[in-house]
Amino acid sequence: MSEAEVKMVLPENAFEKLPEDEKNNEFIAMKSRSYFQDVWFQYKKNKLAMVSLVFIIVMILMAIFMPMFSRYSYEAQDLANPNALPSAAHWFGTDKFGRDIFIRIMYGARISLSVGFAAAAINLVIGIVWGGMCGYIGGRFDMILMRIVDIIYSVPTLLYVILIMLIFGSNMFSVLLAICISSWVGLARQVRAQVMSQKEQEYALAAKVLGASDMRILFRHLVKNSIGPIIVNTTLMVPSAIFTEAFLSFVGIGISIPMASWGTMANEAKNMLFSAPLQMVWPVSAICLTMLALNFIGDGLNQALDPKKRSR
Amino acid sequence: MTFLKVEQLSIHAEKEEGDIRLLKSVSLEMEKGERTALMGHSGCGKTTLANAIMGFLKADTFCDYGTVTFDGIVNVPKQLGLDFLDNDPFEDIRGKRIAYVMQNVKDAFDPTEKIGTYIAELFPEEGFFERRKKVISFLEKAGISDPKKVSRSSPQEVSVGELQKIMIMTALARNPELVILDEPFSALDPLSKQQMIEELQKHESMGILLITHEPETAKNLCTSCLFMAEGKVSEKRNTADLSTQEMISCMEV
Repeated sequence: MSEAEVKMVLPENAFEKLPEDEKNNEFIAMKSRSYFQDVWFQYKKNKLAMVSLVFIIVMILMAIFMPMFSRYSYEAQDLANPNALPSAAHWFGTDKFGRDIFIRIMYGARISLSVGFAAAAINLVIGIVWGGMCGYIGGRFDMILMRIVDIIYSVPTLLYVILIMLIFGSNMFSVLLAICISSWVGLARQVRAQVMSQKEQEYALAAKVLGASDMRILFRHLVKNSIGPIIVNTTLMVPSAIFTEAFLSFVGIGISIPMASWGTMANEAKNMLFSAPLQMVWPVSAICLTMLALNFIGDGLNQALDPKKRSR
Repeated sequence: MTFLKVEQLSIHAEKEEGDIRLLKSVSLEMEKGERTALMGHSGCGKTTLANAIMGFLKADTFCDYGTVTFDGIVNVPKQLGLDFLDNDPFEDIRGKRIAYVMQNVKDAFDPTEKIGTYIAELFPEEGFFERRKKVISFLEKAGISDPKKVSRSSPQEVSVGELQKIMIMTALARNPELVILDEPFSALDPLSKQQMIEELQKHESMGILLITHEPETAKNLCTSCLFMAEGKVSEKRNTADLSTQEMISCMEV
């Protein structure tokens, strides 16, 4: 093509100069983020999960600090002032012994939240070690260990919960023990399935080829790669543990009176249901809100950790 | 004395539609420092054999018969993890005396681990800062153009060719006596390929078992070659005696 022809095809004003600030646009790329930074970025997009997270954090802080600075204690009775309605002095009113309900809810939060998180943490450790070993080693070892899991799974939970309560008495330790015995099993199964599928990935073999030990491959590579679903499952374990504790306390075999747990408070309020219905509302809504918030957090994490469920 | 000896190795895979025999009584021998190419059409069991020499089987794959002997140490290939509880004869050999460059490099790196962390494992005794320096100089030596960026990237963000280079260099880093290369140059440009071949040539006393489809590469790097078809291995022949065309026709059988 000659020069004249080019000029004919492209008129003078075919191109215009780019404004100065747009000149480097092609170099703007997505900021590289680490895995957990990316998860946090995805999690932040979920409003409900964020609100729930803030709620739980506020709840934890209040459960820790409120009882320290309050002039009431969970067991101090004020018999001159029973069944009081909410007021400036008693925010949530008082119960039939004149105990401040607000501070009892805070003490209940201490018990419920610590039971929930402790149970989840213990389950996480047992589940990862047991399930990881089963999935990684396989063969007869896996067969025997998984049959033990099946046996534990097949015994009704309430049966050994009641047995444990009878032997160790009604306190926080035995509630924790009862919850942990029954619920690590599900997590172990999940970890096993995850590790079994990760084991078939080439990088496990590649690590072994480089001379890495089995322990290292299992816990550093395989578990790390399957951590997403495990975290989600563990988060959802917290509300179920809280619920179990509240349920056990409500039927009277959990935390014992006068210790304040949301379950025992609901149990006590049950007798006053017709004369002072508000006393029932506080512990029940505390349980409800906490359960909802924790479930939303679990949901949010599920979405953030699973790339397939992401909305981009 | 033979250095690497595979004796009558038979491996089958259990599939839903029935058993498939992957290796049919495969035997092969290699002297110390020998360079052999293993050639054959796709799916004839080359990678299964390479995995088995390292001591591994894939899931649902079983070894019926045979052993792998490396410098007097006898091993039977097993599925990963099965020997967690008893001792694994090849535990101290892998990575130190035999190195293996895997075919599917893209999946051979832990996706949650940065490239720099992966390479840092080669220098376990060094301190933190010393390690970082060594990682960067290692990547420079491997011919990576932007070593700092690559060391901070996860494997998904790095090109397959670069991963292949890193994998070959990592395999060579501990001066192994034998290296098994499973189509190591498949994603490399001619220049990088030449560079990697030169790196391999530098280790003069090192034996090589090269799995490849390219007759030129086999001739370039190896003195002898084996052909594989339908899970069986042929006699060993000298690469110098065969023309490129003959090699291609041997692979087709």
